[in-house]
Parts: sequence; structure tokens; C-alpha cells
Amino acid sequence: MTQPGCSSRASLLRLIAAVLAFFAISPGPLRAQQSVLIPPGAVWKYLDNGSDQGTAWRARAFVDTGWKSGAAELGYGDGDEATLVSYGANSSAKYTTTYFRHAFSVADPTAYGGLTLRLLRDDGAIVYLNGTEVFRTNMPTGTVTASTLAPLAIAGTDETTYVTAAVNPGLLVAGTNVLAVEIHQADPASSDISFNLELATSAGVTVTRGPYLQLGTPSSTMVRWRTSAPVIGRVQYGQSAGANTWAAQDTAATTEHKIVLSGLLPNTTYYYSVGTDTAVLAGGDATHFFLTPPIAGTSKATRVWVLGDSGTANANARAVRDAYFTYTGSRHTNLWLMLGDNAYTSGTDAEFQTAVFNMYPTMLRKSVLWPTLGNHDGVSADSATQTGPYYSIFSLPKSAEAGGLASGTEAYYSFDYANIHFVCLESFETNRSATGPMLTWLKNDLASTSQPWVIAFFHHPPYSKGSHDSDTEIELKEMRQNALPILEDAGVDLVLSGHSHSYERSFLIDGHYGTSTTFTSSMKKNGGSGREDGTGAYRKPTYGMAAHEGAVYAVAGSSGQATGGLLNHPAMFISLNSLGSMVLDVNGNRLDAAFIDQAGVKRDYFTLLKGAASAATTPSAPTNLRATASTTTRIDLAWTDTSSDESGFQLQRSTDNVTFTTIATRASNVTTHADTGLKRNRTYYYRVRAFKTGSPTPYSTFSNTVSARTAK
Amino acid sequence: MALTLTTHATLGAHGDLHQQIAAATRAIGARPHDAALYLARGELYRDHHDTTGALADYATALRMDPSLDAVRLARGRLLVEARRASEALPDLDRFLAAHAGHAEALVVRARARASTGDAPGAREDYDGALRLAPNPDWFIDRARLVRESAGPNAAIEGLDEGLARLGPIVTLTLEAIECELALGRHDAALVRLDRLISVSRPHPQWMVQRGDILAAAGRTTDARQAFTAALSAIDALPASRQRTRQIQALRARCTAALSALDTPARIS
Repeated sequence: MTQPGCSSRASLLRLIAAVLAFFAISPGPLRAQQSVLIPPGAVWKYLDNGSDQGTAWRARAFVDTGWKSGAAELGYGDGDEATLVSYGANSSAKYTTTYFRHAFSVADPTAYGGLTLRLLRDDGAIVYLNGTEVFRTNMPTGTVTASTLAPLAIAGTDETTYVTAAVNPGLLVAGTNVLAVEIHQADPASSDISFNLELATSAGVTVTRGPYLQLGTPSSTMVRWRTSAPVIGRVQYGQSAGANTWAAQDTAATTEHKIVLSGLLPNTTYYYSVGTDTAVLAGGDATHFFLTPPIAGTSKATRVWVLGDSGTANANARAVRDAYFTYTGSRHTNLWLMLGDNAYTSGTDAEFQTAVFNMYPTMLRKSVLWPTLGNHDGVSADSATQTGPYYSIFSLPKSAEAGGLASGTEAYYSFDYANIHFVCLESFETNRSATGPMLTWLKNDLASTSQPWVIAFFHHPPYSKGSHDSDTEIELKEMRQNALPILEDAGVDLVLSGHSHSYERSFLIDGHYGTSTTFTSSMKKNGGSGREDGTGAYRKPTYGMAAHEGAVYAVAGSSGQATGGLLNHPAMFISLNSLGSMVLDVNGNRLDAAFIDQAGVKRDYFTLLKGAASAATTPSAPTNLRATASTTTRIDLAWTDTSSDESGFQLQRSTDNVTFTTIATRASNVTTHADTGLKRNRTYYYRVRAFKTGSPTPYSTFSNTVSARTAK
Repeated sequence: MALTLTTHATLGAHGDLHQQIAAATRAIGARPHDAALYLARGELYRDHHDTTGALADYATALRMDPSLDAVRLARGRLLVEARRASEALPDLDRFLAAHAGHAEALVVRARARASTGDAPGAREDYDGALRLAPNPDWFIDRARLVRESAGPNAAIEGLDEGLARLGPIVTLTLEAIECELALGRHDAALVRLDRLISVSRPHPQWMVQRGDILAAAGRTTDARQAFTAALSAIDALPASRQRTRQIQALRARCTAALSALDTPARIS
């Protein structure tokens, strides 16, 4: 048995590293160096004729040579204007909208880590950089026209207060850039409008990691990223791309930014940018978003990407990644799991950078990653103290932040997503004894959830004959012997592991806690493929947690390398020495799983259904099948349709009355078929069954079997 | 050293232990004066439960490089596991003299000290480790040590420290309830149970536990109510949940407890 809190080789390796480490000197807080692209008081082109300019005027290429020009502050009614603009002939019906444009030159737009806008506006304003809206203040959401009034009248000190916004520097182009601003009156009879603006750059501070998402819940999400220097980080977010409706920021300067966005709505998409308190450093576009989970217990189509031992940071990992991206296309990945060995060889921070952050940046920024610790990650990390890169990099729930029962440690945890309860165990360094804290917590966690689906994941597979052998290795044996009885008693549905660099997927099984030689057919709750087009989906009778109705065990540790092994564990339906990753789709009472290899080929798939199949959905079997040989190559078939609601009929043929092959599908209410292209003077056997549309497809039983012999 | 670390990590990466040990032996053949390789192979022997082989390699590593402190921790830990705690202590003392802030080493020495009957020393080491890294396992280890040596009241103090630092987690709470019951403080146990219930979903298990505590307190009417409520809660669960072994066991526990409560105590 593993000593509680004692890792095997990992802590010694850490110690060697620690003893010989050079201690880095932390840099002091830096402020971004700033330069000003548009100073306050700059000369602006403006249009003050009360016209509606539509949208064309915002564009960089718009020709504004006919517009007037003047220095800011521009406006009227306050007496502090450098340039007075017109409000028209009627002081009781002043122009609602006045337009402003300013061109400025940028030599190298990549030189700027961020942009900060400071705006004096009275009353409302919308700002566009090179045609893209970058800031909106005191204006309604949605489409705005020249007659749209600002909702609030700016008064008092607000009339002289600049509002600040971070602007995505990625919108800058080399050469001429244009900032366009529309100022709106709150009231046609209002006495004043004001406009002045500064656009400043911040250079030198860049995002060096992320952004990436953690701790996703229906009402909150943590956004994390790393900057090149300590700064006060800020997240701006809203419900449309580029919208900066809300903001949250660090309380102190740091390079490791962890900002929790709270008060979010369930099942809602939010777009965000990250940056400093003065500049946007990343995001603010359509690719930086997250979708909050629905309220726990709610059924929702959920896609999960599962990577195991993916941390090789090489062409293999890239190929597996790209194959999944192609497979999923525009279908959003709701969450993704890493099954350990996320960063080879030793789980250092630099290895995580290469293997995770540089490898999956587009996924990290839009889907919450839930990892478990692998033995290679554990070389540099320690679960007992929750220290080291793995624990520094990931923010995991130890206080039931995302559902489940608080574990008190990030080493093992649980969370809910839609109608799924996920359980992450730590199989490497943490005490795996049945009465230890982890498995005591597991028992209570599973007792406390009422989610219909339970998916568990940990690194060391309970069943494997890949590059690791579950019959001999202690971690694998103890997880099988100690954790599986608890999981199966609670009704676990799917158990995911890595460690072996292969793909091994079990039948629907239950109660196998010994070595592979003790596996018996009685442990198969369903010994078929689990494929609807094969022997049928795996079905667990209960929609909900029910003990010992069977679980599928998958080793998916080939997302970075495939290193073979005997691959002959008897619990496995299929074992592949192939690179790839798993995809899970859970919707209601249905779970579809697939293994997609590095070429994008679906090498395995199965379906798990929960809840009893409804007999009412099965059509009645056809009867009175007849077969008549009409020529040397043709037999005519006819049958009686006894079903009132079939979707069609499936015809099967055999030459030995044992092995039948489907030869045709006929539409509903069609009761004949001509089987052609046959061999002369040969006997053929036939049967037919009705089916209905559904998933899984409900079939009737077969009709009578008939035979006929083609003419000589 | 980077090369050594990489070698170790690779040695520890794949294949069964025999293959890894063979690989380590080949590496030693190629670099026979690399103390760290002996340390790595010693760790593999330890994993293989070959205490003799591991100790031999640790000794070789230390002879080659007496400054390689990691060997002392490795050897100390192995000796503790082999129930030779008194032999482990010199290595652990020496290691901790050089690395006082090493939480894992403190815990290993705490176990060694506990095995040799030095409960105050063990507690001191657990205290030190927990100051560095709060961890449910170590809080429970310490509580069990303290409960044995200084009684449940002292154990509760330590558990409360853990609950304050880690939040109302189930593992520490259940341990604290046991201590409260050992002290006969049933109301305090109930308060802890209520706190746990307040942060988790309602579950019949907690009702049964409440019944157990009330029964132990001699509050039979309240206990009967609790067990009856638990049975009702079990009946209200979906049929699938009722079939789990855990729920079946809970039901049996309730039934047995109610039966015991209804049976008049025999007067001899």
C-alpha cells in the first residue's frame, strides 16, 4: 500500500532539482512604457450638419475631405471648447449626433502590447478603430442611428471626467489608422455636448501564456493568463464580441493573473479580453469567448474532448489536435479533460508552456480544461503540498466551487457540467487506500450527487495491457481494487485513464477487481461492441445512478505517442496502438463516444444509453414473407406489413441460412422487393424486419425465413 | 544535473519495474561514477520492495557523493516503510537540518518519531509540515496521532485548524465527529454534522448519522425520528438510487437501529 502523502520517485527527483536549483530573482513591478498616438487636444475632422452618416463614415478608407476640422475639446455650451461645433438652427431641437474622425500613423502595430482610450464625452459616445467598434459609453446596445439619444444626461463633474477603456492593439494596421467617434445628445434641448480623447500605447508588457479558462461554473469562470512583467491584470467582458460591458481586475500587480468573473448567467456566451488596467493585451474578438454551463442537472448536448498523455509537444500531439479540430469543426467543445502526463518529461513550467499552452491556445481560451496529474507531471509537482508547476498552473475546485463535495485539495475534486458529474482522482502520489481521505471523500461525494451521468478520470488505468500492465503496477492495481468498487457501487458510467500509450476500450463491465486472468464473461454486462450498427448500444436500465449496471473503461493515453504493448486485456472490446483522442457527446440519456486517430479516422465508437428501452417504440414484425425465383438471376420477395408506424423495412439474405447480410432497405408500407444480380441455380435465404427512425434504431423481430432457388 | 534529471525521468517513465531497473543498470554501466543514477535505481528497487537492493544503492550513492542529501531522505523513507524507524531517524534528522522547510521530509520523520514512541516530536513535525502545506491526509494523520497520545480533545483542536484552513470538508469533519463522540459530546457532534450538511446536498446518510449520534446520546425519541426520516428519505430516492449498495446498507442500518430502539433493554 502506498504510504499516505509519499510519492515514489517523484519527490526525490524534485528534491535533487531543488537542492541544485538556482534561485531566480523576481523582477519588481513594472509599468508599461507608454506613448501617445492621439493626444488630448488633437485636431479632429468633424461633421456637424445633423445628417445620418450610416456606417460608412467609420471606415478607415472613408473620404472625409469635406468635413470641417478643429482642435479638441470640441463641442458647445460649456465655454471650455477649443472648437465650437454647430447644433443647427433650433436650440430646442439640436442635432442628436455629431461625427468625429482622426487619422494617425503607426509604423509597427506589433510593437504595442496594448492601447488605452481616455474619452471625455457629453453625453453618449461610440468609438471605432479602423471601422471596428472598440468602446461604447452611455449608449444603448444594438444598432444606433443618428437619431438615437444617449440614455443619460451627463452633468456635474462627469462633464469633465475622462472614461477609460482598453482597446485591442490587434486592430492597428501599419500605416494610416483612423479613430472615429460619434457623440450623441441625451436630449435635443440639452445645452451642451463635449468631446476630447487620448489614445495611448503600452509597450513592453505582453501576454506570454494564455488566456486560459478554469473553474467554469454556471455563474462564474476564472480567466488566467501570464504577462511578461507584473501588472494589474484586467478582464473586460460582455455578451458580444468587443463588448466591454463589465470588467474585473487584479488587486495587485502580478505576472500570474487569475480573475474570477462572477454573476454570470448559465448557458450563456461571454466574449472577453485580457490586459492591464490601461490596455488590452489579448482578446476582444470573436475567438475569445466562453460558454457557461447550464444549471447542474439540466440536460444539454455536451461535447467533451479527452486527451491522454498528450504532453509530448511534438508532431504527434499536433496531428491528434488537428484531427480533433477538423472533426469537431464549428461544434463548440464544452469542456476538455487531460488524463495526465500533460507535459513531458518532468512536468516543468517550461514543458507545460510547450506541451499545453503553445499546443492548444485556441482551445484554452474558449473551453475550460480540467486536468488530472500524471506521473510525469508529478516529477515536478507534489500533491501532498499542492506545489509545483501542475498545481501552480491549474486552478481546480477544492471547495466544491463547481459542484460536488469539497475535497479540501486540488489533487482530487469533482464538478458538474449539465447532467454529468465528473470525478477526478489523483492516482499517482495520493493515498489510494480504501479508507484513506481520497476514497473516503469519493464515497461521500458520490453519495451527495444526483446527476444522472457519472464520469470518472484519473491517470493510472485499472485495466491495461498497453505500455503499462495493470496486473503488476501498484498504482493501477490499487485504483482497480480500491476505487472501482466505490465507483461501481455508485453507478459510474465511464472511467477514463491514460498512462498506457494506446487506446483500449472495454465492454460494458462490472465487478472486475482482480488481475486480468480473473476476468470472466459474467463480468460483461454487455459483451457486444456498443455500436448501434453492430450488436447495439450498451444500455444501462436506469437513467440515473444505479449500482452495478456496468461501466465502460477507456485508456486513452495515445494523444502524444503510441508505444504499443500486448494490448490483450480480456476486458477490452478493442485495443489499438494508434495515436488519437476521445470525443464524448452527452445528451439526455445518451452518451456517444469515439476515438479519433491522428488522421481523423474514427477508429472506435460506442453508445451508452441509460433508462429502459420503450417497448412501444418497437414496430411489429412483418409476416408471410414469400420468395419466388423469376429468372436465373432474380428472386422476387413479398411480405405482409403488420405495423402501423414503421419507418421502413430491412431485407437480409443468406446463402447458408446462418449468416445474413442486409441487401436492401425499403420504405414504409412497401412490401415487395426484387433481388437481382444473383447466381444461377443457387439457393438463397431471406428474412425481413421493420424498423422505426430513432436513436437507437428500434427494430422489430425478423419475419419468417424463406428460400428460393434461381433457375438453371 | 539537467542530464541526470532527464535520465531519471526517462527511467521512470515506461515499462515495468524490471525493465526500468535493467535500464538503470545499463545507465550505471555507462556512467559508473554517477551517484544520482544509484539513487534512481535505489528508488526503483524501493518500488520493487527490494529493500536490500535499495539500501545498497543508496549507500553507494552516498559514498560517491556525500553531499547528495536526497539519498538521506530516500533512505529514511525506505527504512520507515520497512518498520525500521529508529534507523531512519539519523538520516532524516540530517536531511532536515539542511532542509528544514521540506514538508514531505517532516512528515516522514513524524511517522518515524511516532513509530519510536516520540509522539510530541511527531506532532511537532506534523505541525511544521502543515504550516507549510495544509493537506487533508496530514491533518488526519496528525489527529490520529494526537488522539492516541493526548486524547480526542487535543485531536479536535488540530482538526478544527484543518477545517478552518481547508473549509468544511467531509474527511476532517467525520474525523472530528468521531472525536466528539469519544468525548461524549453529542451536541457538538451534531453541530458539526449540521455544518457539513449545510455545505453539501441533503442525503439520507447524514440523517442516519444523526440518528446514530442521538441514539448514542440516549435520546431515543429523537433518534427514532431521525432514522424514520432517513427511511423516508431513502424511499423518496429514485428507485435506481435505492438499489445502490450504499443506500441498501443505509436502509439496513436504519431498520436495525429502529429495531434496537424498540427493543426494551434487558435488565439483569
